[in-house]
Amino acid sequence: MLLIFLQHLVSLTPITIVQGDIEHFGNFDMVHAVHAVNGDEVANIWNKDKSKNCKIIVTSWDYKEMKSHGFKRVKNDAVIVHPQFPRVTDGSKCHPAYIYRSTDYRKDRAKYMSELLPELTVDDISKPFKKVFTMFKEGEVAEKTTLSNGYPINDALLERNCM
Amino acid sequence: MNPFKVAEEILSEEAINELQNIEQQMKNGDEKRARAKETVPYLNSAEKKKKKAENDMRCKMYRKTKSEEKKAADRANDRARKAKRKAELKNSNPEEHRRKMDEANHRKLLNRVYNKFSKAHNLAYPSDNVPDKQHDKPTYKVGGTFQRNQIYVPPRITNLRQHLHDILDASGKDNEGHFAEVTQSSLIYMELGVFCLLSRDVRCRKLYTLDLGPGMLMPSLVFSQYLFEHGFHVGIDSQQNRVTLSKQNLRNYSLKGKANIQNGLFEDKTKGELTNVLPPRVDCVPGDSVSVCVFVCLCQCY
Repeated sequence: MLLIFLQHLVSLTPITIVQGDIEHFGNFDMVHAVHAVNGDEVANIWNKDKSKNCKIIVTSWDYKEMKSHGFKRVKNDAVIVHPQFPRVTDGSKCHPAYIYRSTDYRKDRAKYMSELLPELTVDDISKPFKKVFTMFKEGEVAEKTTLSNGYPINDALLERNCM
Repeated sequence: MNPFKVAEEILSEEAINELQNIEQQMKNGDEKRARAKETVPYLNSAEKKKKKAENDMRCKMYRKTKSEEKKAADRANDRARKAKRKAELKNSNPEEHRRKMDEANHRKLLNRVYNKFSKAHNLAYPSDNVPDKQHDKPTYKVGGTFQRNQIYVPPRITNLRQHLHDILDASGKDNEGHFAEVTQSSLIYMELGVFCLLSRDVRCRKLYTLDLGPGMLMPSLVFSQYLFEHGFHVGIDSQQNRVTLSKQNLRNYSLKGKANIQNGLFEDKTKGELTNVLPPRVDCVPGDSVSVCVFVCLCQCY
């Protein structure tokens, strides 16, 4: 009996897969969260101090719904993408999208992510984007070429994408 | 057999007179029509155009020669006539009046918005010269009616779906069931909205964006091709199969961009700005907004 029990214990192998959760939106200027499933969770991340640098959020909720989800520092002057422009996101239905601006936009107007990039340290970056951002930063600072029309090409990123 | 001769025997004198009058009128009408045919010759399309051009020229000259006082008086007259018509409609049928006013206001609002967007486009791409006034825009036909309102969608975005692998849903359909995608035109509308919301700051082209649940990575690719092209765009999805699919799409698209650069399509500044695909500055990452712990128990029974 004991032997069987031990065997059973060995066979039970609990595997934990921890997915990379986003700590803050501080790495980005804009978040496109149309039809996001966890509205409350997105609101929690948006309300954190570190995600103050994020200027714009695009959602499928009007101002009342945003408040009910718990969004703070969001201005009540949303630009609405009208349903006459077909935004087919849920089956065959068309929904409007609301573009909100943060209240701190005017204060931190100069701080765009592209300007903050050379000063970025690994600790500032949110967990799932650490690898991507460090590689992008290295390519952006060192191996950048520009076309005649002014378009910058990150060679390291391009090589990685073409693999 | 003449019907009037038969009618003489049956009808009274007054009725006969009336019938004769009608006959005379019919004859006169035929003569008039015949005279009109003689006087107005049949015109070819070229002749019609020529005549129209002459007429337009005459109108232009008339407008030029008109004094400003007369023009102002004409405008005042027009305004008064319209106001009178409006007032009559308002008194006779207030519901119809309200509906017409709403339509007119909505049209005005849309015109203003479209003009604003075309200005935003010209700020980002000055070589395009998209007409920013309503009467300068070209017309296009939708279901038998001519429309003028449209957003300028660059060709490299209209052809975006050619290079993407679509996902088919359970019923074997694309873009209809659960895997429906946002359209390119609405994404462009959204981009222009953001551009105008941040007071048309040129630094908006360097925005760093995050897409929660990108699907086929459509939004990030559109951002990388138009307006926010100088920035960096990341999509994040919790499903690994979606991430691999979007990585494949990204590979196809960036290979196309690389080939375009090697063929020298961007050497000319004026051309090749919005026609050819650029290598996108996009990446996709597996992950979620919530930390998830999954316990997989492998139970074996002996």
